[in-house]
Amino acid sequence: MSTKKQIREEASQIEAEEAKGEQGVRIFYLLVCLLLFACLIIASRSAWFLATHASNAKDISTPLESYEPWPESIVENFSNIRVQNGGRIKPAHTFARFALIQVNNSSKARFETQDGEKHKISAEEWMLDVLFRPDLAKDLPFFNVDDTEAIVAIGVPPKYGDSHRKRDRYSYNQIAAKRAELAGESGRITQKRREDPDYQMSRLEGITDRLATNVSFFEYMNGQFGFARKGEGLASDQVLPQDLKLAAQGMDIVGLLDVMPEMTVQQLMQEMGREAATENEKAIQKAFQLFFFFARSGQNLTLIPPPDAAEDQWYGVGDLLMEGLEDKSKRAWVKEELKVVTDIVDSQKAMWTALAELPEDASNDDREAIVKPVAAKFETLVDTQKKEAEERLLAKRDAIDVEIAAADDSLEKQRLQESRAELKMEGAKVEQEVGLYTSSYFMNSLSYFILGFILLAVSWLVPGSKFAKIFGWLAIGVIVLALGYNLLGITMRSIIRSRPPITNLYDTIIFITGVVVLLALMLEYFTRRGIGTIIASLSGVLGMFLSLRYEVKEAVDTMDPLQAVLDTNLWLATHVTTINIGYAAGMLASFLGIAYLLYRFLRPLPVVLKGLTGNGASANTRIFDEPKNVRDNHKLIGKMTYGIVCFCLIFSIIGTVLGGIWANYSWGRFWGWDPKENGALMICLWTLVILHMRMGGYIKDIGMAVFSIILGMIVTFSWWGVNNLGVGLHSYGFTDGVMKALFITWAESILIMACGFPLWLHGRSKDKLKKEKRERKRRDNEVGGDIPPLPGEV
Amino acid sequence: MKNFLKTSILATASVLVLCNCQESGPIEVTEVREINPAVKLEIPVLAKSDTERFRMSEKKPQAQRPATPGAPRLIWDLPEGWKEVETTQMRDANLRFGENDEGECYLTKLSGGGGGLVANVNRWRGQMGLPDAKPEEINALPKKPLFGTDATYIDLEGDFGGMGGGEAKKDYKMLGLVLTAQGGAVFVKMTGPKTLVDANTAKFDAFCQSLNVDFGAAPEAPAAPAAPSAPESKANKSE
Amino acid sequence: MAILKGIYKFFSSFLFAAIILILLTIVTLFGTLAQKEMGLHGGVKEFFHSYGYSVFDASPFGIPIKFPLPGGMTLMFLLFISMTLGGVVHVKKRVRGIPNLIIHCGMLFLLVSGYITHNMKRDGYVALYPGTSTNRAQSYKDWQIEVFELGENDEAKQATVIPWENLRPIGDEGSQVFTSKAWPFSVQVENFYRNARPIPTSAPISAEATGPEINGFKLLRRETDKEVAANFPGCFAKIIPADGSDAAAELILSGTSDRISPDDAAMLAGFEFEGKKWGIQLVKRSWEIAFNIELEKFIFEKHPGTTKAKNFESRIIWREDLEDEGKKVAVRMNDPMRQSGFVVFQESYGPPNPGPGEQMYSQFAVSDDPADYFPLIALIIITIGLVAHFVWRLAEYISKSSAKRRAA
Repeated sequence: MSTKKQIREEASQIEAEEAKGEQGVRIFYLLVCLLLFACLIIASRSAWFLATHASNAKDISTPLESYEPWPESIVENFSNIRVQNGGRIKPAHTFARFALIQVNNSSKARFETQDGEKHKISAEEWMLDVLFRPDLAKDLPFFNVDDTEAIVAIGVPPKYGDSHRKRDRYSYNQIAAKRAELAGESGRITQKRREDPDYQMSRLEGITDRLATNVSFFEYMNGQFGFARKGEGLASDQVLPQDLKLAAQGMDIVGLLDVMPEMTVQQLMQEMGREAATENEKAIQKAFQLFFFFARSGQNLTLIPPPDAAEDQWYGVGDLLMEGLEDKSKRAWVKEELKVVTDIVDSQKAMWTALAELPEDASNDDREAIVKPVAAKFETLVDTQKKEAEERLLAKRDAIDVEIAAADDSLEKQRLQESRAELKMEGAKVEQEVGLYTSSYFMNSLSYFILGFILLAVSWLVPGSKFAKIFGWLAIGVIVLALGYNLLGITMRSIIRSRPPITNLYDTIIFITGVVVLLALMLEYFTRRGIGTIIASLSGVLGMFLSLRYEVKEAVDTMDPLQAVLDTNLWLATHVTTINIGYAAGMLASFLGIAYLLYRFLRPLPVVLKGLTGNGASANTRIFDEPKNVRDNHKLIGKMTYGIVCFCLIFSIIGTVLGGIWANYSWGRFWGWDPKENGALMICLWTLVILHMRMGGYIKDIGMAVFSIILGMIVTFSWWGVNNLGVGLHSYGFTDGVMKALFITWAESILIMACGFPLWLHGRSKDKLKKEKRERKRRDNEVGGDIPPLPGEV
Repeated sequence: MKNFLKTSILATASVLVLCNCQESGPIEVTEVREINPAVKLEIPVLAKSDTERFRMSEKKPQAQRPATPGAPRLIWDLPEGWKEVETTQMRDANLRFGENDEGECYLTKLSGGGGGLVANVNRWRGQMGLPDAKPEEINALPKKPLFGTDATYIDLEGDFGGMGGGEAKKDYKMLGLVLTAQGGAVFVKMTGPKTLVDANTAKFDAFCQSLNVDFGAAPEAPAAPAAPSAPESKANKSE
Repeated sequence: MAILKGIYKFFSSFLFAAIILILLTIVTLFGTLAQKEMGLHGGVKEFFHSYGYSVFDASPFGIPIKFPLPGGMTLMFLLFISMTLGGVVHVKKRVRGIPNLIIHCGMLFLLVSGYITHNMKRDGYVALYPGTSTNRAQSYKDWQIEVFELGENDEAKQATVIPWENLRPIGDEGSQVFTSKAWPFSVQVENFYRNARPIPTSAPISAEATGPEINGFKLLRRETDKEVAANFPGCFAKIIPADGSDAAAELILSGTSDRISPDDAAMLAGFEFEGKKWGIQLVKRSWEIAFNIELEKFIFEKHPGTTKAKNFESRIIWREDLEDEGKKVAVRMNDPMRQSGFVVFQESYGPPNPGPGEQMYSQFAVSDDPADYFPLIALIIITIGLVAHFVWRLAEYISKSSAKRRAA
């Protein structure tokens, strides 16, 4: 019988149950919040570590008394010198930049001189020191070693005492004493790898191997212009024995060319190995050995274009010496080319001496007077290179024109005409490339994204006020500026390479960041609640930061030319761009999902904390109850997520099918179940899952958020994970060590998804409550008033 | 409804039965391939013997890269019954012997120390499942000539674990010569099942003795003066 | 009838569509992970082309469990049913729903085209040195047995072929008899190993081979290699006279007798039957292309100073009849030749690390696929539908929200 008493009993029963449930929920809630904050701390700690990695070297002191930086004008002109490397003509700036990153794990070299001054020099300045002030360079600490144990293993006193896994930077002179040990260790590792092509190096072996490679590289660069220094600045004893070092003093290597007979390199090597009896023969042999040594050292910096327009391989100074040795008729040309270099070497040496002798109060004009002629010499070198490039282009064009006229069939003619159209002047975009790096577009972008976020945070201090509005608009402006830098950087890279924007993994990072920010800003324009701006700024920071770290980690030039199979502009522009836009939309959808869940889940935190301290008023309210404006907010996020998921769907499907058509058109199979193809397919399938489940009413806002986070996990799997499987056509983005980062992000995503569960429970019990309220109302009408309200009812 | 169920069950059953029926009787084949005598690549050739058919005879030597003229080349006398396999980037000589090619013998060289004699011998010992030997023991090992110098001679028996993973091959033997010098090291290494290696020890010694370097053509004499050829051309012109 | 209606409702529901799509995502994920261990093709066969169920083994990843997954082809069939019933038949026919209909039709067409390609496409290759030509493409992984009647000078004229579909089911332990109108005997094929090598009995390892010794050789079975191209099949062939008496000849057939490099010839095993000479061989499946391909020239360039291939392309002459002068065509990476229903792609070259001056051969992938253009058509249909659908929805949303703002 539904009497008043029964109903009252029911009501208090429900109340008691709910009070118990509430307690459990509160405890669980606080635990989860704790976990989330722990994740945040871990993430920011790693970010901080990575960001300050460059300057966390324990001891960056050098025995140098002081350090005179290179004059601006010289650095500028040096940057513009054309060098052939990695299959293209690039500025010495780029060459130096990636060389320093490879050796030093940072694009700037830091050290402290004895006079207490801390210095931070750029890669070009470092390269200038390596090439022209060899003894100075040997004292700069820029060899990055990731684990102290590697240094200890070769007998060098470590900077961190005995602690393992500490990374630090050492100078060449600190390592030089144990050069042989380093070579021995590295030789052992090489031998193991030669015998077994599948051999996997241990972490320590990898570090030692890398150090040995870097030290070798430095020695070669250090000795590049050694031939012009008459025996000064030679590398350590391990590289050249003492008697040869003595013999080298004062020797004019270029002058030797005049008197050496014509011989091949092999014959030279034979002569070097012969038994020398008389003093004269010994002297001649030493001369041969030195000639060979300097010729061998001078082959890494290929800055001289071949005189023959048909050849494409550039020469280093050592190559020139070899050419002159083998062919008497070329000696005049060789000497002419080498004279330019010798001139620079001599004049900059004289410049430093003169500058050192300048009194303290010397005027800038006096300095300029000394520096200017040297800078001019560098400029002359660049101008000579430009002139030679032009001549080569004309000569190539003439040669092809002759071939076209002589071609007997139309196919050959067509191919030759295509080749002619593709002919470009070598190094035409060098100045632009230097500009790209000196403008630091992506670094600026990162800084402005950070600034934008700070401005946003400030605007939250006083929500709703005019102050907040002003700062909000400022933030948007700054974020747009940051996006502008990003897009400008992407455009410049495309122009310099004459290629569509995305050709390798590095390009994808900057592009996807740009698209995510752009889409987030567009969302902001349509919704105007500030959600878009927050996501734009945070995504921008994350993405730009990732791109900078990736560039340093890979330590290879990100603009080197492509393999033949990728060498087609049309498909690169369409398929690759579309797929990456799809990736960006997927990532944005997952960010929105995360925003949704964190917003709803963390919002009651202050209330719950207050409840703990005994303020009983909130003890009975369900923690996840929300006022209308909050509900409107999160419903809006849900709608935005859905919109972005649809956007992702369109671009992923079109991009994936385009990829299939490219594959079918170009090499015969539409779909090969290649891991990267599978990754793209999974993104298409999952967006369809979200779509259909929403249309069928099986997921609403919470489900949408959770499923979009899963979408984000699938996108990162397809973007980064498949490259690590080592199978199939697409494994060309070498990314070890990324798997660890991926797993951490996935684990954190799962944790955030778990936050959806209590929200869903809350929603369900809310629905249950609503149903019961209706029931009670109905019975109330039957029975007639006077029943206590259920908890939660207003 | 009942009829529908009955028919569908029968249909499924019959399909399953039919599918599982093995074709046990003879199959008649009808596909034909015409040979076009004008297209040589498609014409098969009657093999003279099974050895030729299975391509087990002395193959024509692997298309070695034609050496750069004048470059020093590694030369050796190939022992009878041994096969030359393609050199790899690391193995300057790469030979196989034994009916199933289980025995291999190759030469590698390293510029730079390579770790030294002791380290390398102990590494080989590790590959054969043996513990490290002391430096004094290693320095006291017998010497045999290689390239005219004394090289340390290694003779090890054990289970060959190879360089990577995989199970160790039991009862294997390894012979080797290690030559270390200031500028580098040379390793000649032979591994295989014990009986096979024992049978080929003499051939290994002979092979190592025969290893040499050919330095290529002598430097070209300066261009001969025109005089000797002049009368010839004059004679031609007068014709 | 109610049951049928219930079935129809279920198969046309959003729930069913979502379940199939989720299952497809899961199978794609685990199939991709398995490809790391099983190789590209192994994973495809097990997970994506399977009809019943597949098994995923997680031990290579450190977790010693195995679990079953539905087969890929089954899921795709179910997807087809779901899309047809749910996306085409079940929908209310309104103007607003037309773009959606177009999308589903486009996707269905894509699935159908995939199915046609899967069953009817032939993938083969042709490797040629300059100056040589051929009319036939060879399969990468399928094999067949060819029996030739030999002429007076032992030349081979015409063969009767035992095709791959009949050889594959025989298996390691099986046996199958083949007859033909062209043969006065029948051929019994036994122990068809996917990967095997003939070993001379003088070699100690031949003791491991089961099976008879023939002419001083035994056939040793080997593990199937992950690399498809490294598997050479082997089997025993008995020539049995019509009256069923003892075998007139027994031979070992091995895939190693097929052409290894482009200038080889395939090697026939000879036997005599009733005074006539016959030849038999186990070779890669091959088929005739609609025209003859001759390689005129092969051009190969590297990026200067590196080992990365910059460009490689071939000049070929194709002829319908050998007496024709033929047409010259350039075939390059990303620029194939489409002719008479066949597509000729520049696939690769050999030898892999050519020295200076060493002669190179060019390798083409030759495929014929009746559904060659279908995916492109499907894409166009899908794109039109997708764009129309979402632009329509977006316009609706924008006008609704600006109406709301105006009202507010």
